[in-house]
Amino acid sequence: MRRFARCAGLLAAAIAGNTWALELNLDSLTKGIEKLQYATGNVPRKKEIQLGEELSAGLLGAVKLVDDAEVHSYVNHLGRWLAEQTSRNNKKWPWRFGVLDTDTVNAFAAPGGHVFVTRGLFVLLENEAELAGVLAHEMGHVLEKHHLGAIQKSTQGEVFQELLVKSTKKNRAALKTLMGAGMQLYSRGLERDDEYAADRLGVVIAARAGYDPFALLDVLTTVDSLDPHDPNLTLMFSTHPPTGERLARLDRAMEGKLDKYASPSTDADRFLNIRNKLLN
Amino acid sequence: MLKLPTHGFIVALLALACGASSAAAPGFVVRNSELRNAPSFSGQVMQRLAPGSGVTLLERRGGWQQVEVTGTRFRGWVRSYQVRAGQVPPTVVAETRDEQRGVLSDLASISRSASGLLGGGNRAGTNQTTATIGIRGLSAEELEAAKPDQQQLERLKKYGVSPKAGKQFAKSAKLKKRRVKTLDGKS
Repeated sequence: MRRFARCAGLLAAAIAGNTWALELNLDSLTKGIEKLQYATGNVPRKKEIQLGEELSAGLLGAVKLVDDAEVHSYVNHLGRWLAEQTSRNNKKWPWRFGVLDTDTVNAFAAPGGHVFVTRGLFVLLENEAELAGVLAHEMGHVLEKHHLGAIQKSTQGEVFQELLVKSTKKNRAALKTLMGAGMQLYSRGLERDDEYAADRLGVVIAARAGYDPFALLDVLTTVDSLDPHDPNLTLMFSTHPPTGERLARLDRAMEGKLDKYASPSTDADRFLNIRNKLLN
Repeated sequence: MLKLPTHGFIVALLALACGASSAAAPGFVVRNSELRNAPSFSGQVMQRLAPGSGVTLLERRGGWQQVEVTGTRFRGWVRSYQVRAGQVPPTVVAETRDEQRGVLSDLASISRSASGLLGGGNRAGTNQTTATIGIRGLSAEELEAAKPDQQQLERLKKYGVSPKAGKQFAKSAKLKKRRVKTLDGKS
């Protein structure tokens, strides 16, 4: 597309016979093409990663990472193995996984390949397959571009396109507006259908990676069995569909299709070692 | 409770004849469940189980758990997420006919600490977590008021690993890639 734009620009310049026309045409053509791309939801990879990093920095401004390199090595290795099972399995997508130092029970994702799980949720998990299920659910949001879609919706399309085109270091104000829209997604949640879709994709990614896909159902069962008045659950319950509904829908969607991939947990020790570190 | 269909009764008898699995463990129902005579939605419903019903957990197959209902000879299959390992908490059994989440949560959290005591699960830490509730939580207001932390972002970026490292991690746990279509049928 860009090559074509340049050719068209050159042709126009040749006809006009001056360099000023060349610059003008190139500029407007390139911007026009970029806008067209964003309008179809096809945000360029670099822009998506940049936006994801900004949102991650925002999230990390509210809650810091657990200060433990071993914990992060573990979740990043597991996460990268899960990423191998997706359409974004190459080095161009920088999958990064963080454990957030809070008792709050939740998990988050940001565009580009950023995934977070809270310490509060991690310590409720029983095995590596359950952690894989949680991470894979969040990866589902990234792959389906749920945050990008929601930001696009909340900033009403055209504004979003303009903001993205301008969102370089030179235009912090535009980025701030985008950030505001993004951070609201963490505090108010995505569409319910996006959550159900991430559940359906998450179990498949986990199964592809050799994990028991039913482990995500086990996590949801654990969450559903907790005291709903617990303040550490307030944020998650207010930003997700009712857990019972998620369980029922996921169970129906999986019906018979993934039964043969159910398997016992593979490596209990390495998971428990990390979980114990988070408990201390 | 429902009348036991003849076909189901024969299956139940056959199941009994096979004897209990050595992996049998006490458990209980955490949500309204249908006990089927086979590990499939096409299996016949033999009985409906209410939350709090005691069961013995037998074999697990796919997303299905074979159970025997405590105090009866009913044996069949429920979805694995509908049951939990551990003893039925005696104090709340009477209340669990009403499927309210609050009641269910009491049920499951009591059972969880019980299973931790029994050594049945790996949940010894769960109680420690609940003991620190509210100390370092994260609220919607905090999220919306957050200022970006670039230093933390740089740390996060450094933690990322290569695809090759991910494969090594899988290999060390003997995890193997599997071809699985999405639930919408895409490969």
